[in-house]
Amino acid sequence: MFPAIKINGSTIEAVPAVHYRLEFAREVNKLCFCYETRPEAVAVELGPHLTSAIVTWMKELGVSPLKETELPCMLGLLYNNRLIHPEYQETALVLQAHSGKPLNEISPELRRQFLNYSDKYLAGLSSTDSIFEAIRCSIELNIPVYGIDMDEFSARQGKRVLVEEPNGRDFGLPQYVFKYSGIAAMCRDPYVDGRREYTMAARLKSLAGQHKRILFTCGLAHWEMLQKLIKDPAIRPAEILIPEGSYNFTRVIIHPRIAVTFMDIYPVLTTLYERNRQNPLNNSKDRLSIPEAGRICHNILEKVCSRYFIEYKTCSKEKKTNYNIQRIPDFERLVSNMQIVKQHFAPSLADLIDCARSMMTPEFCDLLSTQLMDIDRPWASSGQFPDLPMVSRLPDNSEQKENKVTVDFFNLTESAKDLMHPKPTVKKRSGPFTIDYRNAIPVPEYLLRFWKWEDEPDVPRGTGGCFDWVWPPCEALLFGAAYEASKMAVTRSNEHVSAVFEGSLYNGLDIKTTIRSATTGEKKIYIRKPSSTRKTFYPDGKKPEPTVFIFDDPSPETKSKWSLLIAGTNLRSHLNDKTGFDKIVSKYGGYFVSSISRIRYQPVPSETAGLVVSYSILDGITAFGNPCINAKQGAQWLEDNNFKACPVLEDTSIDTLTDYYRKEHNMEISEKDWKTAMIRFAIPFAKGRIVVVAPRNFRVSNKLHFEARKRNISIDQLPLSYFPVEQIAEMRQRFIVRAKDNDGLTFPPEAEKALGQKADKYLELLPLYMQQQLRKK
Amino acid sequence: MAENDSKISMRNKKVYQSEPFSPRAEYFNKFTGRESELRFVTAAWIAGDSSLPMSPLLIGEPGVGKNRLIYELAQKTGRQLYIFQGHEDVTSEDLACTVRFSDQTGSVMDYMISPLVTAMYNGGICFIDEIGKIRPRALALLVSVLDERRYIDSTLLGERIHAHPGFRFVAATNTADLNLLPEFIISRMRPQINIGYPPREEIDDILREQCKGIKKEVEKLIDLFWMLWTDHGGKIGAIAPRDAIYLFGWASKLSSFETTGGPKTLMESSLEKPYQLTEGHSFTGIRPEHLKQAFQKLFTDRPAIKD
Repeated sequence: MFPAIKINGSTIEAVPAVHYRLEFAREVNKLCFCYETRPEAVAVELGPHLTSAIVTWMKELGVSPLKETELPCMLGLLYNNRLIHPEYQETALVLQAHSGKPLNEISPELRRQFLNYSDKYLAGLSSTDSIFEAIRCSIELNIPVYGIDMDEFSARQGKRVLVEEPNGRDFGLPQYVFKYSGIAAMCRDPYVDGRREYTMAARLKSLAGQHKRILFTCGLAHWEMLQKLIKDPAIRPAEILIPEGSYNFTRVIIHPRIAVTFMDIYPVLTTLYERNRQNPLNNSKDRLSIPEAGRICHNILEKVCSRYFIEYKTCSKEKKTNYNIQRIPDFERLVSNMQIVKQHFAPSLADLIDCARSMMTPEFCDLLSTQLMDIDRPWASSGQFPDLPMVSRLPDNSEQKENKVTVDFFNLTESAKDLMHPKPTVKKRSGPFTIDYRNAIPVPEYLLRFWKWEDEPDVPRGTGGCFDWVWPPCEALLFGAAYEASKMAVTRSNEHVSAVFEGSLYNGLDIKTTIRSATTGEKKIYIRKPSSTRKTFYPDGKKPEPTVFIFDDPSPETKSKWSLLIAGTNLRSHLNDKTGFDKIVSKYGGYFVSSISRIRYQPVPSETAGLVVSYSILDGITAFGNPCINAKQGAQWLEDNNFKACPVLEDTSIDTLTDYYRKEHNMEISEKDWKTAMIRFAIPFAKGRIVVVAPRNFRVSNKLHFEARKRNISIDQLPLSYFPVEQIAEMRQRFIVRAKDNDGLTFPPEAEKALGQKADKYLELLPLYMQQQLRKK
Repeated sequence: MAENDSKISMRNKKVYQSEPFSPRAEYFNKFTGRESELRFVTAAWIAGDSSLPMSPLLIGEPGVGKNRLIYELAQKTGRQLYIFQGHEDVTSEDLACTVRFSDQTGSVMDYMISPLVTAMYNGGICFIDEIGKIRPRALALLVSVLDERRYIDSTLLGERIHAHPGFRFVAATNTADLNLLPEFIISRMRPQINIGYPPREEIDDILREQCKGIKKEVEKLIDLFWMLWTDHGGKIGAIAPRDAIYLFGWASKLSSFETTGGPKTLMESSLEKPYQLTEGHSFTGIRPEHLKQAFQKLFTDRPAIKD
């Protein structure tokens, strides 16, 4: 028995549903599968335009009466939003008056925060949602499907109500609807939902005149009111009049991190549903049977624990500290206690990850995320649907990531296959926009932030792609020279010595020594005299100081550009202190800048074409200490220095860099005077001093010396002429070469051949510690 | 074991207990939001015959409401709350028991058991605030309390005090002090719960609750507050509730000052006719100008969040 309404001799059998829960999709399938209850038409709580677009697309994806199909996981439709909820009218007026701008000129972030307005809506074609199941069944049964809701309506901040979780096998739709439709109705928005329900009721009445048996599925919250309205004779039947004009639905691939929002509590349930689901015309007598969520959770945890244990057993002694086997029982207890507190039959994906994050090591969290996101088939990707753009969340590096205060921005990326790379690469990105999900509560971004998707399209080559690394000999030569310079440059000690007053006061009286002298009967006056001794530095390569090279002042016609190199793109996996890294990344961003340089791009030598991504000449460089020849070395350097050795940014633009110095170090750095800027970039990261290697006529300004002294560091200069001219010419060359791997560990032998040198040339110039970093396996 | 007010007898020693903390209703508005964090701590505290409760560590910026969360939990679980304030001068023995000169004739010294031991003895909640400020060596005594031993040894008292089954433990630290906590404590304090800034809706609800006397005007004031905040460079919602409450509190005082005649009345006041410092109706006469003034003093006169 399904909840039903009889009207004018027709029966509307309803599946009022909790969205995206497969129990309700299964009820829809069951209703269509059973000959006695099979409907003549289907009505769904979607607008007619959207419904029509979904039907067309599903047919193109192969849904038909003739066969079983599997919906990719996950595709979606993106469409524009034009409406702001009337509840925000006052706020909209205040916002405009206060900012002096019309609404369309106000930032999307403020519009989202103040007016709950998003630029676009996203509807995910979720297999486990009753609405999409109903549409799919209608195609398979070859019966008409009607979208009877309004196509456009505004949204206010959603309210949540506590209803029992639908529970697998014992689930009974009529009882569930009877118990919870009233409670669910408490989250209705009387203004918008009232209008929608009025429309739906009127359209249902009209459909009842055309079909004897209709399947209708909608959100549980609407059911009570719809029943009342359908029975109300004042509501007149209304035809579904489709207004002219297009809503510009964009077909998209939904990035898995977003797709989980449109799925049952565990993503793998979607696959299980797909594999068990039957075309309603199929004559099989097998019932659609899905294991209970609790059992699935148990399986997931079992797999995670066994992998964690294997990793623990096989990892090196040093890495064993990253594993905490003893804490697993406590983690499991916390998870089950959370179930008790939340009154859930099975913990949600968010609860599992949250518990793991608060109890376990990052390694365990990584394994858990990976297992939770394993859907036992590939996620829909650009490789599978090359013509579709992918909607993904823009990385959010603001400080309050876990604190729900940031607005999520999204973009669309178009990808294409590259002959040299097996994975598609990003060719075009849209501007950022905000999204509202229809009927879904987003899974917080931070939970799956570190989950790696193997089908993630690569960023374009040549623009700092993750396979592009500076040719190691270039880095080794330059940083070897920096090491040499740091040994040679001289620092005068700032420390004072006490001396007997002999006519000059130097830095003033030394009161303590004078008193001491008086008490011992010496009665001499002591003054503080600057020490003339040289301060010696012994650079060891572990905590290197920044070095600034200023090579040349290019003529105004030759325009040099800023270039920021990073320590690597895949640093996390090479770190022991992943928590520390995560904290820094979540606070500042994921780009650890290892050097800032002024470069002039040159044509790539023809003999190296295809191997060398770019070739440039350096005019100057601020090297923060370590060459970061590969990601392992970069990671080691960052960890040795507690992630404080260099600027950490959200992206590698010079504007972001200057913003960073302004915000974090209270320094206004002008890009115009690039030489001064280079030295100033180094100041906050020096522990004792900065070595400046520059032409003999270059003078470090007193202002810079003063700024450095304020931070208790010195700026020591070494003339560029200390190095042979040929070496300088070679040091200035920078080849960016495509490595064979993401971490820059190996380079193709052809590159060595084309560039005429081995990839490990000049490594001996580096300090021993840095050489050891590179030798580590 | 006999009990007389706060004085109890432990074996043959009379000891004084620490006083529990009961939040005064007039200073605390209705608790808003933080459902997820409440659930997390509750889940950590659920224990039975075969499982021990966990000892959560709350981590967050100052003013986000870590303490308020614990007050609320104490009320919801119906347990006495004993607060131990962490600071740099806490010694290991302070965590267990201290002595003082006695006020009683015939007794030279009194034993004072710490809030931790009192909570362990009575089955209450012990909340160590600012645990990161306590020196590592002083925390050593806590180790046996946090693991399966569940007891504390007091050298001064010469006793081993076992925790009552109802005893629950929680501590809080500011994010900046987290690194100062020694590993032997960190490893025993699980789950670690990050208390972030609450979302905008929760701040709005807190302010609505605070200004319930001006229901009509409060929405506009809240909108204005967020606009001033975003102009200042803050993200919506990225504000500590304490700051938001303080801001509206100040605006309320400015409005009261104006109502009582402002500077003129203050200048004319004298010993015979003193200026009244008691606020009549809090949070009722706030106007946008008061909010702007208060905002300027509190935030604009401090460095902006962004340039």
